[in-house]
Amino acid sequence: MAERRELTFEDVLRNAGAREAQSRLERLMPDPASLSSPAPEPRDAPGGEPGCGSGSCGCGSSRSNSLFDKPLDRRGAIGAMMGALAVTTQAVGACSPASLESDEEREAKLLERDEYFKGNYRLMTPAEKAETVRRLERLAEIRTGVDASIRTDEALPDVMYGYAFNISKCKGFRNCVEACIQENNLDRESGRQYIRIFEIEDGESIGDLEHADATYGHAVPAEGHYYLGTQCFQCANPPCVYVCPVQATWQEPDGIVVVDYDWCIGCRYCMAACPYWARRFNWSEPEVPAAEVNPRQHYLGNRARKQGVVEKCTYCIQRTREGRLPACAEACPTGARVFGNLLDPDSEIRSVLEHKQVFRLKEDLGTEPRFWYFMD
Amino acid sequence: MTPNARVLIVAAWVLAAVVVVAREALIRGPAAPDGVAEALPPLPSLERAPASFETEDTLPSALKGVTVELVEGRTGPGDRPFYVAVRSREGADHLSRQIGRSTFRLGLRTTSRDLSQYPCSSCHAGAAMIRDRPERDAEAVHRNIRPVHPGETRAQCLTCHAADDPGRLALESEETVSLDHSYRLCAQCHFPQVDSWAAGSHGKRLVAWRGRRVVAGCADCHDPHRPATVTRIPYPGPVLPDPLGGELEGGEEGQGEVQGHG
Amino acid sequence: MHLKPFLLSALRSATTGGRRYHLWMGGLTLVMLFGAYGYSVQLREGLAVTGMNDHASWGLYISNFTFLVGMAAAAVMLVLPAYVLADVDFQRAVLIAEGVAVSALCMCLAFVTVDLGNPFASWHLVPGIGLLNWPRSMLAWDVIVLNGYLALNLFIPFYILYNHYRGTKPDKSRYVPWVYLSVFWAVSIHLVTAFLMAGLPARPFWNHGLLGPRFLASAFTAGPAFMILLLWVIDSQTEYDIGRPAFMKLAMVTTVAAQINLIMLGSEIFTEFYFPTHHVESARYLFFGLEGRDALVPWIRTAIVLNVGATVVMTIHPLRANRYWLLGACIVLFVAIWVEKGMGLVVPGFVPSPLGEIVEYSPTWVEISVTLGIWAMGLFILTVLVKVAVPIELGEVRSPYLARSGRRPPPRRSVGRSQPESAD
Repeated sequence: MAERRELTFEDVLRNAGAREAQSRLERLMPDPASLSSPAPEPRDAPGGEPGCGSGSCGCGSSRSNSLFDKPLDRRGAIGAMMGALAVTTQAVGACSPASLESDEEREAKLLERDEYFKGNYRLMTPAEKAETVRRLERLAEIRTGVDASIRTDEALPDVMYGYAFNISKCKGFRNCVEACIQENNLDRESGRQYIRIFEIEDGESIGDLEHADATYGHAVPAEGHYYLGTQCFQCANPPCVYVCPVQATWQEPDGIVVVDYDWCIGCRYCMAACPYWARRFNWSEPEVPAAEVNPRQHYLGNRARKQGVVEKCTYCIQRTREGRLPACAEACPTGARVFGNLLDPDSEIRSVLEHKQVFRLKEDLGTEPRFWYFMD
Repeated sequence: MTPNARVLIVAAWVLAAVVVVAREALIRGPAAPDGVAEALPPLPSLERAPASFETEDTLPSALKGVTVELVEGRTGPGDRPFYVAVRSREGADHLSRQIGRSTFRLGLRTTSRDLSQYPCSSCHAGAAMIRDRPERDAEAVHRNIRPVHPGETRAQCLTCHAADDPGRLALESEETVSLDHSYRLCAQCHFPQVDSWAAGSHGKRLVAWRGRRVVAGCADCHDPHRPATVTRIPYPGPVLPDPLGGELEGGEEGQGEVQGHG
Repeated sequence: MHLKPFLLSALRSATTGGRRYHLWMGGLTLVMLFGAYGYSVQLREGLAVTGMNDHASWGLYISNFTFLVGMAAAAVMLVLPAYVLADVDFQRAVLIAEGVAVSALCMCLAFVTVDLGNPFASWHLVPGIGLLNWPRSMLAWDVIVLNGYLALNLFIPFYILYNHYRGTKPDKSRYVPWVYLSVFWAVSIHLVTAFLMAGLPARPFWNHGLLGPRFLASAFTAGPAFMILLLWVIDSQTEYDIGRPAFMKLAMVTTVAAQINLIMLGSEIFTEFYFPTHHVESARYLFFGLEGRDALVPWIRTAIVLNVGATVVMTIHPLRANRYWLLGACIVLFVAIWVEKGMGLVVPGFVPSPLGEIVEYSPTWVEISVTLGIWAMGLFILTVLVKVAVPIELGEVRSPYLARSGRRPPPRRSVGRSQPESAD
C-alpha cells in the first residue's frame, strides 16, 4: 500500500471512539498522524470501535466529518452535489436509528456510500482499484457471508481471445450452460443463461434461427437435428460499446467486451444494439444462494451484480486471464468448443481458422465477431 | 457587423468549446487504454510473433500438478509438442473439474460406466483369459459391451488389446502402448480424425488455453466398445417469459425435470 | 430588479384560479401522486415490476419518450412562421407552442429517467464528473439536444414574457439568433431520437433511412393536432384570442404532415411486404402476428384506420373548416399517432429477438401508473406555463415598478393584432 493515502471512512470509524474525547474542532481537522499511519485491515474496524454501537456516541457527527475531511477530487466533489439526495438518504439511514442497527449494518452503509461515489473502472488508479475491491469484498462478507476474492488482473500481453464452435460436435447437452451459471454466479431466480443452444432440424439453414428451438427438453442428441450455440461473440466492432452513453462498457485489449457494473446506468441501449442478444439485464436484485457462490471473482467478470444494471458473457474473464479455459469450453463433453489466443499462430484456434471452413453469424452486419463456427 | 451576426458567432464559439471539452473528457487520462474514443482494436494480424508462454514459470497454476504424458510421434500446431491427460494411473482424475463450486465430469464417456473399472487386468490377469476365447463369450461376460468394433469389422479382442496384457494396446507394428496413448492405435484406421485431433480441431483441450497443451485421449470421449453417443436429458434450457399467456410453439413438456450431467 | 416580482406574480398567477382550475390541478396532482407511488414500487423492486424483459427491453416508457420528443419538436411549426417568416397570425400561439415544447421535454426527460435501471447513477452522464460517450453514442447526443432544446425553449419565451412584464420591447437581436438556432435544434432533436433507433443494425425494423423523416412527419402531425386542441381550450376558456387564421394554418400544417406521414407508411409497408425478406419478421408481427402472437395487431390496425380516416377528414376543406370536425380529427390523429409511433414502433423492434425468439410485451400497472403520472406532470407544467403567460400577454399582469417609474407601458404585442377573431 502507498504510504500517503486519503483519509477514508475506515479511519474515521476506527478512531471514532478515541475522537469522542477530542474537541469538535480537532475532529474537523484530521490528525496528520492518522493519515500517515499504515492502515490496519478493515475487517477489524467494527471490533475496534468501542462505544459506537451504543448509539449515544455521536457517531453521526464523526461520520459526517469524514465526508468533509476526505479530500475529494473534482469528480468526487461534483458527484457529491449531484448525488446529494442519495447521500442524504443513505446518511440518514446510516446514522439515525443507530441504536437499532448493528455495527456491520452501519459499516455496510458507509461502504455503499463510498462505492456510490467511485469513478469509472478504467479511470481508477491501482490504489483506487485496490480500495474498491476491498470495499466490495467486505460488503459481500457483510451482506451475504461470502468470502469472495475479487481480482483485477489486466489483459495479458499479446493475447486476443478467439472462440470456435464445432457444429458437428455439439450434441445439445447444455453442460456449458450449467457450467456458465455456476462459474459466473448467474441469477438463479430468473433462470438467467448467457448461452443459448439452438436445436435445428436437418435441412434448415443455420442463419435462420427463427425456426430453431432453444427451449428443447427432450433427450439429446435428437434424431435429425443438429445443434448450434450462441453467447457473446466479443465482436471486434461491437455495437453495444458504440451506443453506451456513459462508457460503462468497453473492449479490453484482449478483445473481451466488459461492463463496469457500478458505472452502468441501466438504460439498456446496449441490449437494443446487440445483434446477437448477448446482454442480460438485472430486472431485480440477482440472487445466488451463498453456498453456491463462486468466490473466485473478477471485477469485470463474475462478481456480484446489482439491481438495474446490464451484464454479459466475458469469456469467463476471471478464468481466462489466469490461463484457464472458459467454463463453457472446459465443461463441454464433446469437445465442440475451441478457445485460444488468436495472436499465437500455433494455437488451436488459429489452426481451426486455417484448416477448416469457418463462418460467423450475421457477418453482413460488420460486427466482426471473434466467434467462429465450423464443421468436421 | 450586426448584433445578430455577433450573437451567431458567439453561439458557434460555444458549440466549438462544447465539442473541445467533450472530446477532452472522452480521451482524458492515461487510464483509458484503447478506450471507446480510440480507434477500434485491430483485428489480429496473422504475422504477429508467437506469444511465448511455454516456460515453466508462466504455466497457469491450474496446470501444475496435472498428470500428463507427452504425445508420442505427433506434434500439435506449429510443431509444438503436446500432452495427453493420463487416466489409467491411479489418482489421475483430470476429467473431473471444479467449475464454480460444482464438480463437472468431462468427456462423453462419463455417461457410461463401462470402463470406469480401469485397468481391465483386474480380471484379465493372464493372457490366456483372452487369447482363445471366441467373441460370443466375450459378449456373454461383458453384457454392457456393445461391440461395434469387434462386430462390424470382425475384429477380435486381440485386434486392439495386447494378448499378454489386456491393459495395454497392441499396434500393428507389434509394439504395445498404454491405454492413455490410444490415439496411436486409433490412428491406424482413423487417421484423418487423429490428424485433426493433433491439429486441435477435433478433441478436447483440458484445463488451460495457454501453457502446455493437454488434451483428452480418444477413449476419454469415444467408448471403444460402444462408440455411439448415448442420448440423455440435457440440462434445462431457458424458459421464455410469456406475459400474455399465448400458446408457445416449440416449448416442450418435461423440460426442467431432469438434470443430466454425469 | 423586476425578476423577483416577476417570479412572485408568476406564482400568484399559477395559484389563483376558479374552481374548475383548482379541480383540474388537484386532479393532476392526484394522478402524479399515483405515478409517484408506482415509481417508488419500481425503485424498490427493480424494473422486474414492469412488463419488460430481456427480450423486449424497452416498452411503454421509451414509446412515450419517442412520441413526446416529436411533440416537443413540433413547436417549430409555429416558431418558424412566427419568428422567422414574421407570420402575424401565429404571434399569439407561438408562446403556447413553446410552453408545449417545455412540458413535452420535461416529460421526455422524466420518461428516460424512469426507464433507467440505476437512476441514481445518472450523474455518470454529466461531462466532467461522469463519462459522456459523445460523439459516439446517439443517446449521449439525445441527452445533449434534449437539454439544449429545453434551455432554448425556456429562454426565448421567458425573455419575451419578461420584457412584456416590465413594459419593454424585446430586443430582436437578443433573441432572434436563438430562435434560428431552436428551429434547427427542433428538427435535430427528433432526428437524433430517430437515429438512436435507426442506427442499430441489430434491429432491421428500425434500421432504415426512412425512420427519421417519418418521425418528423408524424411529429408534425401529432404536435400541431395537439396544439389545435390546446389553443381551442385557451381560446374558449380565456380572453386570450388566438384568431381563426392561426387555427386554419395549423390545420393545414397538420393535414399536409398527416398526408406525408401516410405516404411514408405506405412506402414502408410496400417495401416490407412486396418481396418479404428475413427482415420483415417484426413488421409481420406488428401487422399480422407471428406464430399465434398478435398482441399489437388490433392496436396497429385501429391506429391505421383512425389515421387514414382523420387524414381524409382533414383533407376535405369544408370538414376541416368546421370546428367540430377539425377538433375530432385532431383528437383521432393524436391518439392514432401515439399508438403507431409509440407502441407500434418501439415494441415490434424487439419481436422477434435477434435470435428469433418471440416474447411479447405487455405493460403492467406500475408502468401504466408511472406513465399516467408523467403525463399528468406534463399537463401540470403546461397549465402553469399557460396560466403565467396569458395574463402577461393580455397586459393584466405588469411589473409594479412600472407605475412608480412612470414609464408608459407599450401597447401589448405591437405586431399583428388588428382585430381579434373568434376561433369559429
